[in-house]
Amino acid sequence: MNIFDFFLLPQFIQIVNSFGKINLPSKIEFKGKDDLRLLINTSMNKNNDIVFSFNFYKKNKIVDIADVTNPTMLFFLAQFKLYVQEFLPLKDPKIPRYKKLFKYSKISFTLMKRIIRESDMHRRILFLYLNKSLNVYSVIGFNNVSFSRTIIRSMNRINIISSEFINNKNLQILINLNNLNITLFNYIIQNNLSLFFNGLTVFIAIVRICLLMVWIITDLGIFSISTFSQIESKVMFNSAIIVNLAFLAIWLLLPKIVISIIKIKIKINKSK
Amino acid sequence: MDEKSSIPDWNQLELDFLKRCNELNILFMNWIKDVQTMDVVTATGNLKVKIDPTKEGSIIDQLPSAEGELVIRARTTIQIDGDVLSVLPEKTSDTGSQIDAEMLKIHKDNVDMAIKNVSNNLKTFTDGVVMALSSLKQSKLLP
Repeated sequence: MNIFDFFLLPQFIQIVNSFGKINLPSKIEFKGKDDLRLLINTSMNKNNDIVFSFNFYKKNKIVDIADVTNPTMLFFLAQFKLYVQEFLPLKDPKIPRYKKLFKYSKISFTLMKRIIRESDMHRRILFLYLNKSLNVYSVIGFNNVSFSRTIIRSMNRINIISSEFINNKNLQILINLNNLNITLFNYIIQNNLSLFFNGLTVFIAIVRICLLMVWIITDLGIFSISTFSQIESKVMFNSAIIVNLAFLAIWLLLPKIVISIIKIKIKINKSK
Repeated sequence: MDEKSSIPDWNQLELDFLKRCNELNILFMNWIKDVQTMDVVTATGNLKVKIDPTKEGSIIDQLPSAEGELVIRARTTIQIDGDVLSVLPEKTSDTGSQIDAEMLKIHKDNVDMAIKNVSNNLKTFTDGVVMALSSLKQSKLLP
């Protein structure tokens, strides 16, 4: 084990990285040529469906998608693709330079509380993904018409293309836009999962480190008391053995203790 | 809001944490059940077709009831043992029935994306479980 693993740096870096990417951004904007821009609004409607609305603007005036040329559409598609790639979960966290480490450690302190407490849109998305099916709609903002709907339930996918758009000249590009929406949604789910597991790992390791510290401090305490006090050395020796055996037992049985506590807590929580 | 009231109550934090554990447990159980097959369907029709998200079983089973509103153009079923069943889209022309190339490309893109996304989700999940279990089991921090 190297020193970085001991201080859980890969996990902390993974947590900081995932935490910035667990929510769907509400607005995504791309600028094109001739003052044309694409604004993608993401929201959850009253039925808890995720809606991606594509709006094209020219000098602040909304433009119909039919008036956007094919090369411009391809340009925006490429831009959106690059944007979605930024949400790709971190595969192999690299240890940053020491200056950055300070920044990471500062963020990490306040993070754990927020991870557990966070009750934003991603929490609802995760809940729906786990328990029910989830609908992702792709909408053209100009006339508020949906062109595609994807229903996701665990491993299964149903992609429905609106019959109004089957003969659209930009059908292939529109479907690609919808696929990027689904990919973005999946990255959000993966970042949420990664955040949870890394948080759990850090939590377990922190408990171990705290226990180790208490153990060392207790031993130092016993040593200093035996040096400076008048207590009989045999008594001190016996108490040191008992304390060390107790810590060793807790240390070795810690995994089982943690699992048992979680099981008991879940049972109590269920019966409430 | 004063500063004191914004400090989270630890019991509430604990309950939130346990709720997350439960959510992950449900996810794991669902995946074990559903991991045997993956269905990808490409359909055209009315986007407002009603599919009940709370109904037990696969959402694909609900598609026949949506007949009339949806036309299933293509379907691919991939089983865990490697078997693949594909229903290809067709269109009628003057020369008779033929494969609808445009719809096939759309369906292929959907299948490719679904495979990539599902495998990444599963990998993230299994890696996470392994990481959490090994961190529980490892005792290398012992001096």
